[in-house]
Amino acid sequence: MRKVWLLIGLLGMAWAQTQVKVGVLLPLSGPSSVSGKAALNGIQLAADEVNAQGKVRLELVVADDGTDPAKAVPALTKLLTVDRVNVVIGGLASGVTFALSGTVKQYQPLFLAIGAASSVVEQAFEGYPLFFHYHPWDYHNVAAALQFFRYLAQAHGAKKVAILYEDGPFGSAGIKVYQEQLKNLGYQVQAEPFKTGSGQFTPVLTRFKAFAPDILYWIGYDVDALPIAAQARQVGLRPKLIYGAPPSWPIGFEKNPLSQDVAGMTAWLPTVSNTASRRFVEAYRKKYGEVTEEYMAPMGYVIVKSLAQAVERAGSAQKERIAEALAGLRMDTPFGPLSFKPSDTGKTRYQGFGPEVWFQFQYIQGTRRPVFPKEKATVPFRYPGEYYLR
Amino acid sequence: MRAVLGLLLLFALLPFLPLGDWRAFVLDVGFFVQVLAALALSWDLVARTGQLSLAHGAFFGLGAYGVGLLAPELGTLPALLLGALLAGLSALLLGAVALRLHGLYFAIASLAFSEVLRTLALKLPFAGGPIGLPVPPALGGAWPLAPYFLGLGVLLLAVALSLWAERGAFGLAQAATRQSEAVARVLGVRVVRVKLLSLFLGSLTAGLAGGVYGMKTLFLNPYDAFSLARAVEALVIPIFGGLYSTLGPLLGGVLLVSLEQALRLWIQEGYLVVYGGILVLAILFLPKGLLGLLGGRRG
Repeated sequence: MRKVWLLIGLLGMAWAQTQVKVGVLLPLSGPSSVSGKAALNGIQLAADEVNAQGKVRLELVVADDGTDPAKAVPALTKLLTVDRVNVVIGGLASGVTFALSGTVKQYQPLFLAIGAASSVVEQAFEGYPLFFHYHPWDYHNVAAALQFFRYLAQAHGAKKVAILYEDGPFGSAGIKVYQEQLKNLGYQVQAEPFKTGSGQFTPVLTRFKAFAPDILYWIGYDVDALPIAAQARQVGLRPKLIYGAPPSWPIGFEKNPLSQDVAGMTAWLPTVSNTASRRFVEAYRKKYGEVTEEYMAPMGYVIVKSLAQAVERAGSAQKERIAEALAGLRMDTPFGPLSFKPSDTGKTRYQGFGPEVWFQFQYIQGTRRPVFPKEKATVPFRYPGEYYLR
Repeated sequence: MRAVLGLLLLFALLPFLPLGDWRAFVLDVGFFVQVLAALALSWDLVARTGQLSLAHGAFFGLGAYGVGLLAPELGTLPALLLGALLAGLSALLLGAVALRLHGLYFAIASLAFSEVLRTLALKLPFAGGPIGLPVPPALGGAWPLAPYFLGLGVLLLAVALSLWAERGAFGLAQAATRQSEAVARVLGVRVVRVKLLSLFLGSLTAGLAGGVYGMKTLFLNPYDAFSLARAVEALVIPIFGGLYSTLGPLLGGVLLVSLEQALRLWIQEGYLVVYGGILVLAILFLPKGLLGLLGGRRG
């Protein structure tokens, strides 16, 4: 008799459970694959938790976009037409996401964008009613960085910024506007381009020496972090702050003594102390046996968790009803509170996070610590930093 | 010839075949196969004169940028034609300066040319600079199959040019130039002219292919549009399929692009290892490419 009741119970649970097939399209190969794999880990972790709770069942269909439009477009088409998913999580690299906009508009899935910060993507999805963009836009990133520079000028008297920017799209986009904005904050600015991965910074850093900057600000990739930190010391530049803005920092950089006092900006670190973040770190460690510093992992986690809550509220696998529930959702996440509102330009209707998720960190004694804004800081900001050869 | 016609017929009939749920996916893959096979044929047309072009990624990008800049004003077809012409004119400029160079020297010059174009695209504000350039969809997006049939048109043009060159006196002049420029000159071949015309025709086709590609991917940035990876793709396909022929690059394009998509689907992570392994095996054991396996001739 007990077995019969158990069976009835299980059948009842299955009946009450809403099942949704979710397409996951991420760069698992190509230049953005580190972020793509981190995001996938977060997504799978959240899907496991959701499925274990039993109210909603998410079936993930994962595809690799190869960080290449020629691979991403057919992969999305397959998810939508062969696998017949109605909900897609994807859109990490901006150029690839733009390329996906045509297919998305043709098949009309609920599209949950994990990255794609460039505001050209905002243009591409303008007016599309089922587009939810979680990551802040590029203008949010700039606003957050400028807030820090304003603080440096006002609280620490910083006056001169030397900018080293890589000559590709990542470093060069908007650099002139950025320089203007720094000048508007009262800074004297000297900017020089460099080729990422070249490792040759001595000539340009020597030129900066005559300028005697308070802040050495570099916009490049992870491979540039160590050569810049080392060669700034070699030429005796001695800025009061080395501030970097790569998309991801080199693995193990924190273990190198040259990283001491180098600062940067991120949306999340495992040391962030809110409850949702601590819970995520614990679950991540339990599943993968390690802790990640890639903020795309909690971003993927948040997307799946919010989707599951929306499905539960909607009580339906219908994409329009899920979107409606998602639009009214409020939840705590490792990044802070999440709710959707129209983007600042009004082009898209559902923007998740804004400039408030960004914070500044500093490498201090082998680990990254939040230092600004004060409400997020876990240790005092070290200014001037110690950037000399020991 | 029959195999070439068979493959073209397959592309023409593909949208009308009962492919069920797989139809849209197969047509998307078919589109990229057509565009990349056309690019490979355009590269082979230049290779038949003995020149190793690393500028085909740049011609491809120029065509795409031409379409991105002109299509909003002129519409799809005029923009495609003018984009291709832009690529052709740039090839004439490159050829006039560099085609007297041989082999690797020309390859280096063509690589430098690509870098110059990429830098220009990065610096010119009307080309979108480093942020990139949105491209309007073909025919205003009114017909989803438009990119597919435009791709087919480009492939037909590439095949027609290749067959014309392969079968006529021009093809003999190309082969003579490739085998020995000095002997070709003695035979009365106007070597530089043959090389220049090959480069011009090859770049026109590459520019057209780039334009159609841009209308499908809807967005260009200088690093992708002028990438060396595209130039390498343009030469790997003919080497895999069989050089100096029409069937080789066509067959190579169909198999390599489809194989990559299939491996991505079924192996997923680590598919590049298998893909790379297949390429290495093909280079080691099929020095004449797939055509060698089929008993085809090599020029």
